[in-house]
Amino acid sequence: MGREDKAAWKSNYFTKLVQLLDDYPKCFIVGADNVGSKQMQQIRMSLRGAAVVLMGKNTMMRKAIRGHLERNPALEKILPHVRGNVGFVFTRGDLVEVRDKLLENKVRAPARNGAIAPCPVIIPAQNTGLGPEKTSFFQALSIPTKISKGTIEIINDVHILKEGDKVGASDATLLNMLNISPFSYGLLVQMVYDSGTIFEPAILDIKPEDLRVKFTEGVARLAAVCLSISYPTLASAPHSVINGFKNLLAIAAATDVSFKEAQTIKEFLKDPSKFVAAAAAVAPVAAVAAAPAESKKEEKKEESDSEDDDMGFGLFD
Amino acid sequence: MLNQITMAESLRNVFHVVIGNMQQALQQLEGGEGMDKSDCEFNLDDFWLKLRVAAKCISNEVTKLCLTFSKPPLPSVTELREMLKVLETAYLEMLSTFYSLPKCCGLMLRKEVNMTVLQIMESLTTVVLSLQEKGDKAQKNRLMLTGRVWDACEAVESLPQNNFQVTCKIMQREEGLVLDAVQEIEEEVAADQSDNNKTWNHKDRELLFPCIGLVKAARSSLKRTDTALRMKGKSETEQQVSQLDDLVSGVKKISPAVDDLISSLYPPMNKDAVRSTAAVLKTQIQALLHMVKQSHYTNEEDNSWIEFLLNAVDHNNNKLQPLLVS
Repeated sequence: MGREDKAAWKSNYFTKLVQLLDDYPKCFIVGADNVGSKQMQQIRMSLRGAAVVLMGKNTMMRKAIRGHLERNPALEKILPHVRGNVGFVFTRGDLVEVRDKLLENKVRAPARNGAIAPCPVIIPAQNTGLGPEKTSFFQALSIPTKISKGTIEIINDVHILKEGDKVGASDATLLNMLNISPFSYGLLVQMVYDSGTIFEPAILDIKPEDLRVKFTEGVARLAAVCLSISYPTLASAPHSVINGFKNLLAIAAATDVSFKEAQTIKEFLKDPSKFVAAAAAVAPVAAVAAAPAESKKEEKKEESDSEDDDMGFGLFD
Repeated sequence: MLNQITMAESLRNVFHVVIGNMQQALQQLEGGEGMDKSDCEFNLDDFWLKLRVAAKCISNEVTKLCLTFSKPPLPSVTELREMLKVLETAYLEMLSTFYSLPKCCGLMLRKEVNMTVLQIMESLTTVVLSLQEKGDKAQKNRLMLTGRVWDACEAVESLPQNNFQVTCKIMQREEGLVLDAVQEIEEEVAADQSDNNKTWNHKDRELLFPCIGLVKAARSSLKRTDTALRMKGKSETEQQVSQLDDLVSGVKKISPAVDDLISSLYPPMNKDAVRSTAAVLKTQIQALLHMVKQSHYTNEEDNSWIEFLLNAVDHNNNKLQPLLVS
């Protein structure tokens, strides 16, 4: 780049970033560690029409954003995240679709000495096809091998790196020798900005199940509070009823008092062999009526009453 | 058919009123100020308890609403009105709790809480607006919006509890930004050296080092102040609280000044810009250090590093000035 090109680039950079911040209501702040220029080119191409990628010096990005705060004060929330090797992906489209495109553009890469493993690496048991003169590489990493038909064979699967481990020189050499490219790199979404709010990318993946789980957690909390302060509500009533029923069953089991719902438990207690036969054949549903005389029975019931477990209460505790 | 249209109309009316109220509350919140009782006997523990409970209630009520609207049948007008009323009570409780926080507890604390409450109200308004939209896409989008409300409400749990904690948090953030700038320019200089000095010409390169020296002095000032603050900082008296507020406003000026200086160093280097940005940074660091020297979180032992850093600023500035003249 000549001096004039640089001058133009520098002054245009601020205008460009401000323009993008004005034109696009949403953007991703992405980490670009280990992404080469060729891969970046591919990413830009695949996002064409859907999103615009902007990388640059953090100091200049922050300066441009600060200069624009007067017009859009919400941008202040982005500033603390402009740190490290980051860039922006601007879009007007669907955030999930653009994020998925970024994920599609990951590229497999060999393990380089000194890199941090983003995932665990396992070398599968295999015949490596390498001659016995290479044995020292395996010995350096204490990998058990044997010579089979004049080549080195790895006997068992080897966990060579855990997630977060630093790749050592021996690890890198061996993996390259075996033609294993264990990592895949791409633009990594760190934060999402949408019309004035900033949030974690995990929010893009919330499913209807999460909504139900959150609701159930709330019901369980409510039931717990109501039970402990003895204030009946719709959430706690089923627990109160079942607790009462448990007490009745316990009394029936220990005394001569009997009622229809306690018949089964009483029969089982009288003749436990019946339970063994029933337990072998059946179905959790049948177990609901049975009592917790034996620990084996309890286990059965926990399985059968998953709905109540969700509320944080076992029926027979 | 007619019945359905009337029902849709009634639902729209219910939403219209509630959303109108929310937007009004939001505007008031964005306006900033609100009521201030300046009650220095204020009980911060009670405040946090109330705010947490209110945020939790909002989160729960939003979950309920979104679950109800996740599949047909839609709630009746009466049911909806009832649910929105509970939600309204929850957010009004949160707002009145926020407005009860007096300025004497710290401007920065108030600002931090304001930002979180604002985020809750913004995400809440968006999600309630989205309840009127139909279709799969709207449904999917609503899940995301619900997640944003949860996220915003959960943020209340991790808010700094007093002005001291807010100051520590901001110090750390600003120091991180300045460190990032230092690393960026150092990497650039290293790349220039390994690339046969193609980035800067000889004259420009001379200017780099005193400027980097100034930036490093800025970073050390923040780091040292942060250490002193964590050891001796308090937010018990009104004076301590206001010293912390002053510290934050001083500290927040450093990172922008550093970024401006470094941006001006990149080729093509503009000497006028370097001159003015370096002068601003120098003044900001000096002002910060002089303020720190007078504060409750430093004592005589700290004077040595403060003097050392003031000298470092002068030293780099003295080296820089003749180079800028030529």
